[in-house]
Amino acid sequence: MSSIRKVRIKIDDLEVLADPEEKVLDVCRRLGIHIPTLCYNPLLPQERPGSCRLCMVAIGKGEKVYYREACKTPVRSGLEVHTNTPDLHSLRRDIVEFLLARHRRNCWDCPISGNCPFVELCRDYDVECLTVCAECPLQGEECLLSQGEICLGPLTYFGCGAPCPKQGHYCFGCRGLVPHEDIIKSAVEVYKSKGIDLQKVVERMELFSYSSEVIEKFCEIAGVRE
Amino acid sequence: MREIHTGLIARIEGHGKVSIVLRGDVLENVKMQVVEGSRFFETLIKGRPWYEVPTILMRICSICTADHNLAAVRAVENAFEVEVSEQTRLLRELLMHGSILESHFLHIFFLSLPDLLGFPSALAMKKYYPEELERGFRLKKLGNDVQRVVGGRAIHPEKSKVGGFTSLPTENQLANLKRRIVLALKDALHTVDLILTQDYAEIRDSWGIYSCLMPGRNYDYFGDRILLGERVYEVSRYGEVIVERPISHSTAKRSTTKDGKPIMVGSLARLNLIWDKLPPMAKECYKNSDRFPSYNPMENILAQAIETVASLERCVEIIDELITRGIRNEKRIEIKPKESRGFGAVEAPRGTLYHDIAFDSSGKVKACNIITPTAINTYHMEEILRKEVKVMLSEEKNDEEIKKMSEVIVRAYDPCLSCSAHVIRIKE
Ligand code: SF4
Ligand code: FES
Repeated sequence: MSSIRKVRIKIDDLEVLADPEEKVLDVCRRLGIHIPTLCYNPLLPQERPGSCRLCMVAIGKGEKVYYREACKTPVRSGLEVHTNTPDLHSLRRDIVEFLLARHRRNCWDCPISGNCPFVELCRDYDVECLTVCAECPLQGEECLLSQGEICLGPLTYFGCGAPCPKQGHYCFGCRGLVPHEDIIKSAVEVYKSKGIDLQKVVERMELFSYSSEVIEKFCEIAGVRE
Repeated sequence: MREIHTGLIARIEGHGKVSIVLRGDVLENVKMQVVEGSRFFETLIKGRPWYEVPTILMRICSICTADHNLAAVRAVENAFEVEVSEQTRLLRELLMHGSILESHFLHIFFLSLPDLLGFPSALAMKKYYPEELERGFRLKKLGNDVQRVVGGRAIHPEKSKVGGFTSLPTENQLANLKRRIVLALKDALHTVDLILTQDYAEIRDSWGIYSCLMPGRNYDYFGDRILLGERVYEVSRYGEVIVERPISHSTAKRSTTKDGKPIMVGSLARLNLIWDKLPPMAKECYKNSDRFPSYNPMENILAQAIETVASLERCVEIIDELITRGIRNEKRIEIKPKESRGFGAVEAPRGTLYHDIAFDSSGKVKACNIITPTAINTYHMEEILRKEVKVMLSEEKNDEEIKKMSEVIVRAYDPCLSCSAHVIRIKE
């Protein structure tokens, strides 16, 4: 590395020397600047690296700012990079939402739930459409639903770290229910597929969320009485 | 006509105040007012299925959560005639001791010790008693950790269910816990000594009516029969021991014996009645202290300190027994609901706690009655205050002194006012 001529770039107003072969993301990582990424995560399939677009950074300044993926942008002399602006925050937030909108919702069968990278992303960017199942390591046969327990994990806001299901106690929804239509739909499906009485699910939801709009929607989708 | 108000009393659980009404220099009335909003737990539990009962009822309190949980669990099991395994019984007792340790140490170090040592708050003690304060934090945490290992959380032990536990602690976890408990025993003995060297106000309870549950073989905070002085009652006949009626100046009901006398429950009552069940070290403290049987409610804090020694000893015994037996992977017992009524009582840190729950044939709650220890103690507190204020007036103490002393007396009972205030019932 020492034999190659270094280039001088600016990251978050900090002047740094970089190797011309490096990408902006490499430099940031080297400096300990956190940039969210989903690509290159060893837990995920590496089919199309450079496609999550979460690593967006702002290049240039003033009027002439444009946004690029840090993992694909090579360094060049005089490059000016910002990694954490309000615009970037809302851009990344949109990206997280967009990715989640296309994401499967069956966290109870997902091999990496419990370690899901979306958990951190949703927390950092205030996206509220993950459920306790994303944080719960139980899956397949171990999932409480497979054991005939009525777990509210598929409907309840994430963020607690799933302490109850981890200790064998069904989630009773103390954090509140997610009003996201996709989530409710897939929850209804999983309850049906596990042969769980949907009326009982409603009864359980009432403990912490009496007369919530989610219960209304759930009943509508599941075709049961409130 | 003149009134002295303490204002909301600090360093107790919940909101309450003492009002003293004087006509000239003559005492007219003393009122212990619980100003917590009514909490309606007995109403909101109606119609909920049996398995949610412990989950909901343990939210009554955030200090003795395990106690409310176990009282409710026992009530449901009593109603549906469930017999749990020996392992479950041992784990439940362990959970109970965790709750006793946490609650007693909280009260001793952070709520009452400042009174005894003459500080306005626990933090103000930091400069002069840094070791004691640190010990307090350490011991209280141990109580929480016992509950975490057995119940799954530091408060609101979700793992403890009707018929057993949803998952069990490992032998490793228990062994680690035991190591810390053995170390804590020395700390607890220190605490007893520290309290013994302090001076208390000399107050005498002239009724001397104490009540607690009759324990089994050990000092275990469970029981199916009630002791009221010398007499013994079945738990299902708790209505003959304690008579409740609503009063206008407080959201807690007044509880008395059948003939209208005040009852005291809690650590002091337990030591007075069942001290012979104490494990060896605690029994020794009890005898060496030379203060028991005690009729001075101010000595409740000493009784609590002795009980923490007992609980630590019992924890060690229980863990040893569990480890020698080996933790068996038991499933919870299957429940068959039926129309019936169940009673569950435990000795919570502050005294006897009763849950009385009736179910319909599908296992939904039909009616519920709960009596908390503080609700029982409040009348006792009032009567003691009445006596003491009279004495203070005759000694021509000024208002400030009277106020301060009243607060100290209230605090000695370790009242948990938010628990006491849920007992208001709505007419159907
Ligand atoms: S146990 Fe509950 S929270 Fe965990 S994956 Fe299954 S449904 Fe979701
Ligand atoms: S890390 Fe996914 S696009 Fe750059």
